[in-house]
Amino acid sequence: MGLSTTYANVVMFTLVLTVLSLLFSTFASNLGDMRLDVLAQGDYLSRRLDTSVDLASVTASSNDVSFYVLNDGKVPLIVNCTDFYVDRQWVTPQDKMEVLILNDTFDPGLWNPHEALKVKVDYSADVGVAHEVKVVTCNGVSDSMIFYR
Amino acid sequence: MGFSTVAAQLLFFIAVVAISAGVIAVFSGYVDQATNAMSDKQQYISGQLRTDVRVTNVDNSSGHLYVYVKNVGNQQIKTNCTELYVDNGWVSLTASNIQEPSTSNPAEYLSPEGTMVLKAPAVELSGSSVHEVKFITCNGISDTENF
Repeated sequence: MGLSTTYANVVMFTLVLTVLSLLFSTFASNLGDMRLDVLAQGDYLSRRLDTSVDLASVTASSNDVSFYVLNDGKVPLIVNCTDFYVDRQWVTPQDKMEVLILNDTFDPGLWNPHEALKVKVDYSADVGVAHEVKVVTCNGVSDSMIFYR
Repeated sequence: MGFSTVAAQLLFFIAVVAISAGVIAVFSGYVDQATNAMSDKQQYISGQLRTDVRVTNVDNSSGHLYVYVKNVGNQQIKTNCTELYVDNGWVSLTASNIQEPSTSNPAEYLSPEGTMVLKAPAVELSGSSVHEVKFITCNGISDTENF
């Protein structure tokens, strides 16, 4: 084998090695990022599966509607990003709603599993007509209940 | 080794280096393109994995149609390229139709765990008693709700 062939082989080998290592490093980095996203997605799905709320009871008077929501899942929930609807209308937290976590001794401020939320909304529900209350947690898990006054 | 052999080897060496340089130039372009394409695809898939939405409520009382959408993913959602379909018909939405429900201010972005309301203008509902609303984000993640 002549010297030139050796040169050519060495150069080609180096070239192929460089190209492969470049491609591999990019691929590995992309795969690493993707792996983190898939793990986060798994975590999110797991949290959703562990989340459950139960609208336990609703009482309505002439001026307001009160309802109790039980966190019967396995993860603590945050009240601030929980949405409430009465008769499909968004209830604005600031102006016409009172929210209270009952038996909130453990981790005050967090709506922990087995804790109930009492919500009182200023709303005039007509008598004898079906009404609906709906609760949507921060991760989209919901429960609704039909009630009559 | 005579002078002619050295000269031939030198010529061969220069030729090999020149050809290799050419091949490297061609390959580097290819590698760059492949790398960029892989990164783009990875970012796109990553964005899709981090995006999730729920149509939480549809209010069609009093002659209007308000669709409430919650961002239940990990990524902020741009609202200017989102799409809404009612009974499979495309609904034209302007920036002023997409609002924060508590303030009624236009919502340019929807943060994770946030809710926005899409106030659909003059939508003609089909004759069927069950209607369908479909919301699609800019990267194709969608949710459907019957009402």
